[in-house]
Amino acid sequence: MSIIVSILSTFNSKGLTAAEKRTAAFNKAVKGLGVTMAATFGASQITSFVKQSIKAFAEEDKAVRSLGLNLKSLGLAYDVKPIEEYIDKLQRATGVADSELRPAFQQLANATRSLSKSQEILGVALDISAATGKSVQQVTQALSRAYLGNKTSLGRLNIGITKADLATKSFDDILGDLSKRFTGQAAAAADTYAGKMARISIAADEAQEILGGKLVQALEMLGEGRGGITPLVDEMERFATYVGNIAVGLAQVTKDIEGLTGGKVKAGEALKPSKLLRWTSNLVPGVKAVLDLLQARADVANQPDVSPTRQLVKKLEAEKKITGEIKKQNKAKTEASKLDKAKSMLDLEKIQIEAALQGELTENEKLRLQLMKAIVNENADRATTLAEKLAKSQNELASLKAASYDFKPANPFDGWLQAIEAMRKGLASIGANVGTIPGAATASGGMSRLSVTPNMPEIPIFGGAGFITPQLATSNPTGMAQINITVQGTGGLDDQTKKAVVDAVVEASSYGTPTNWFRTTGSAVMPI
Amino acid sequence: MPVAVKGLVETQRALRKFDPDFYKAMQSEIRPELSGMVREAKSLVPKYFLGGAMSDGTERESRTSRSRAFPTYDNVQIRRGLTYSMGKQKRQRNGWQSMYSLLNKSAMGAIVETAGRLNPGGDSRSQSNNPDAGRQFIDRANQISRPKQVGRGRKNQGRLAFAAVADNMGRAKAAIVDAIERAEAKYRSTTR
Repeated sequence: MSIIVSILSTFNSKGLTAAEKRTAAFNKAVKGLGVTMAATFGASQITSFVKQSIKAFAEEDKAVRSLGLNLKSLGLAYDVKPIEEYIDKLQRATGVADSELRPAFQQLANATRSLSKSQEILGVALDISAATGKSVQQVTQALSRAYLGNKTSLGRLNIGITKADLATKSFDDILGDLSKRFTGQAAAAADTYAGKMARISIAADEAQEILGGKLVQALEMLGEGRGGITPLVDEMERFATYVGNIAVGLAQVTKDIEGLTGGKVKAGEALKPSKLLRWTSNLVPGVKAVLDLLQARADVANQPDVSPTRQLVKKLEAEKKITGEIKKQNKAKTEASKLDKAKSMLDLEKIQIEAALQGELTENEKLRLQLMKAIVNENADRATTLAEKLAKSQNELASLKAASYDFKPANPFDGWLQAIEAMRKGLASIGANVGTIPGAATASGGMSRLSVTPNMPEIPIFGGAGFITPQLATSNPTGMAQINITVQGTGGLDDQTKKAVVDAVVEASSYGTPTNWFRTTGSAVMPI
Repeated sequence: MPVAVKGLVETQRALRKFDPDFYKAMQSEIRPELSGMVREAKSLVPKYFLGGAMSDGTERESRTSRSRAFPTYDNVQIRRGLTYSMGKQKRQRNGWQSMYSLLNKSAMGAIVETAGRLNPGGDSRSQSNNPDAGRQFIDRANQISRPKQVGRGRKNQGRLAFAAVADNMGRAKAAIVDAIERAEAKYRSTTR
């Protein structure tokens, strides 16, 4: 064993918290039992015990009926009795009260719709609860959710189920693992001192419930022959009202007697039966008046307080209470927001944003991620700035896109025509005969057609005269491509037609056909 | 006295997750402080201790009821056993857990470190043939270095690692806490 000299330490409450929970559970069990015992055997608590017994019976009865109805709605009505027996045995064996077991079982039955599966899961839940110190309800809730496919809460139980297990394993596999790992924990816990105390406490509770049940039964018996328990209840209420009225009346009689005797008889003395009798007999004629007065005073006493000052005070008190509640709620909200902020530091979304920001990004993508980060961090100022930047960036991007659509480059072959024209002019300047096309024939009527080799593509010519379609020149003995153009009127060819002619010549030449052009009629060379 | 930093585990975990490079940088800032103290502790280990306790290179057999013989003094081995840890130690029963610590791992080193803490005049249950062996051992150990206190209690004093921490504590502690606080501040600024 090595010697360790600690330089920096941190406090790790893990384990201590669990121990505290267990101690608290033990204390609770002892206290519960103590309270039950004291309440059971304390002479002054008999009335209270009777009330509590009836209440406990009522609660149990309500829970049993609720479970029964629930099972009936699930189509399991015939299993209500066996389930009640099962829960009863389970609570005695494990020391977990039926008030905990019944809702747990109900929840599982709702989730699984199968009694055997619910019993199996409840058994595992009890083991886990005993091993981890978590409540049966908490564990059952997690398991029932997991059964329905939501395994998140199961992971939160911190019972050694990894995220990989949750993602890959089926519920049955996970349940099998848990069953193997925690088997026997509930039985072991029930065998501890705390467990035994809990079982005794449960037995005491059960006894109380049984007693409550019997008391209700006795009251029902009393109500028999009077139309059931409802008239009995009404009679009891009426009786209570009478008793209350008598108390108020007596107090009022005392005060009124003081008033009638001019203070000669004090209130305490007036309550003495002998004096009461004497004064009452002396006041026989006024008895009716006294009774009326009593009634009037009792009515006044029963009326709500209408004093404006008191009402105002009450109103102020109510407002103060409301303000206090609002303050409390605001404080809770502030604390919750602080907690949320702290949680957000380890938020998955945040991690993803951070990870994404590490990669190679365009300026626009980076801005988007930073904006997401600011929103997640609830940093409004930064989010506004970044949103503006992002909008600007997106506008720039959009205008760039539009510019790219509008971009139409010039025809690169336009230069060719200019070059050919330059060549032609050059040839003309040295005296070459470039002004005529060999085989050109004159035709009458508007612009005729260009005749080219059969493989030549159709060349449309738009101009003043019309449309030119390539056509094989059949009359040309040399086999040269022949283009016949007839110009109407005295004017020359327009620029577009001239260009088309040049294109046709160039095209024909490019196909390997010797090409020339000339004028068949007239004297002027066409200026192209 | 050991210093407890609240949220240290969380800070370390967050740094490791979000900024591993900065976590490494923080650890490398702390490392020299710890290694300095280890050097200091090693310098306190003398070459010679007591004639009968010195190692002759062979392993001795136990001649008492104990299964393992009393370890021999080998200064190289003791120095090798003096080291530091930047990882979490086992949690104590009271909930405290050491995050940065100096260790004295060798058996003889641990004895030299702690001898006489409980029985300054030697243990009466000694099984040595020499009835004064315990006292002589402690006297010799005290010549090397008097036990120095780190924090409160008998168990927080020693001659090697404890002495080094006691001598160096002020500087090292401040530097370590400072490094952690800076790391935490940077982490918070990056995640804001």
